[in-house]
Amino acid sequence: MAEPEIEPREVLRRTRVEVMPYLREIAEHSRAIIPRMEVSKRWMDYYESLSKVRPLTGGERGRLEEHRKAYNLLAARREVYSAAGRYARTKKPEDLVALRRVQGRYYEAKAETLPPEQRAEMIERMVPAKELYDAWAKVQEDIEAKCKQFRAVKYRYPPYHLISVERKVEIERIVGAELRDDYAKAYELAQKGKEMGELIGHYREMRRLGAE
Amino acid sequence: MQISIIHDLSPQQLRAGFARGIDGFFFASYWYLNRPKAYDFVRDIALKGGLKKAYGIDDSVMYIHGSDRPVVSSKEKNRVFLRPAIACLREAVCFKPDVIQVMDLPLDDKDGENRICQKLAINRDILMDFHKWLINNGFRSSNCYKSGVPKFSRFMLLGVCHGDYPDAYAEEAKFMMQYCEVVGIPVAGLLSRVKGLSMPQRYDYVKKVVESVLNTVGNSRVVQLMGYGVSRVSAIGDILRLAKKFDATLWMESSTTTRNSTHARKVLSLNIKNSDRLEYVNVAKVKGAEKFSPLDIFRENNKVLKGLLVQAQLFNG
Repeated sequence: MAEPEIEPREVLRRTRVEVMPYLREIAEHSRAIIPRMEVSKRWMDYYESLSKVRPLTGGERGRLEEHRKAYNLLAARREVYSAAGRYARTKKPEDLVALRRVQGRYYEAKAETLPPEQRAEMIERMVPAKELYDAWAKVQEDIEAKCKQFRAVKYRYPPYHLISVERKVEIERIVGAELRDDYAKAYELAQKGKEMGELIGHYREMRRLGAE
Repeated sequence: MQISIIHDLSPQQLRAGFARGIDGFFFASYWYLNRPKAYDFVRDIALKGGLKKAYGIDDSVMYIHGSDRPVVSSKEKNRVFLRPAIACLREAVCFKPDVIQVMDLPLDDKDGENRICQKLAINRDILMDFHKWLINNGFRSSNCYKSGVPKFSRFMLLGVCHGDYPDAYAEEAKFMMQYCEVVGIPVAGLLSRVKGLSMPQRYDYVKKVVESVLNTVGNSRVVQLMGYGVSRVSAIGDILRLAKKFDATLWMESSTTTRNSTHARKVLSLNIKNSDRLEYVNVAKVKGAEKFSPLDIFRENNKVLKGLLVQAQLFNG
């Protein structure tokens, strides 16, 4: 025998009734996790059952997604408390690793709750700029070439095998100074919050003022 | 006591499913840095939500992100240049690993007393910089447990201890454990590059180093043996005995297994003439393994390695 069909309005009413005791608990204990999870779970069930009756509207889909994210965040927070308690009791490395992994999941769940634009912006901000990679590659090539030249001068490989001692010392000094500049440039490139042109300008200014 | 095996995997191997069913994997920057599209690779992984999500790797698999390291190669183009530490950390964060290796300067045979002290001081400075950067960017909390580790951290840190004698390693480990969840010992260099010592002497030295570090760290932090060359059964037994003594958690990193599985197509087996020696033998010589693909070989080797560890635990229990 087929199950009697329940009206969506009836399901909504039942969900509201089911959620009420948990809301009262939350009003008493504002930091309670389990009642909040139960509330999110009830609303997720409601929207999922509703989606079987008719397609969800945009707003409903958004609310379902919000409840899902909130549920994941609360579940992760609960796991963090549990893992932290376990580590506090045992102080064992495996419990510390478990705690860190749970905290990682919590961090990700929290990041999920941000609006998508803000999240994408956050990720983009963290990725080092493309110019930095190009500049690093260039500095790397430069350093490799200078190191090769320095070795050739030091051990008198061709074409530096017939140079005088004074000339050898002079070239070593020049190449050494250039290498130092390259390393300084590489260090400058790593500073965040500055544009490439700004960095190079700053670097030149520092050099002009006599910084080593 | 808990022992896990960490494999060194490349992006191609991750794509081919090598990370399925293993304890953990190590992924370092040298796989993509020398490629022309390094930036695109990093950005793509960051936008996909990290390396694990990008390659569909199970969340239970431990992912350790390695730092830049000076790769000395005969070919100039394969050499890797050490980038500034914080830039590497920013990049590592984009990959969303479980553990980030703190950049370190390895010691060289030619280094004198002063040079060693300078390098160790730089390593400590880099660790402090990493810790501060993570706090400033909200990935770590500044309040700590009594043991020294922060109460909250999105990432674990792997601090590598260097030294020129066993107690120096212990001294470094003592410093590292204030900020790091995992303490690494660079065993590979000790087994392959130390001059003037026979193989048993090298293993003996490694044992002393590990014992000294475990004496300091005890069972409060995970100890990672970075590149532990599994060529002797007795050496595994020695390490397990130490781990049992200190009730330690060890992660053993073995890049040899991956290299032998994929490039050389060799399976791990015992030497009949000398039962203490472990060798990698070409699949053509092993009955039933002739048609193994690199992935099959890798899984087989991982299974055998784990079996060996379990067996060694039983014998040493």
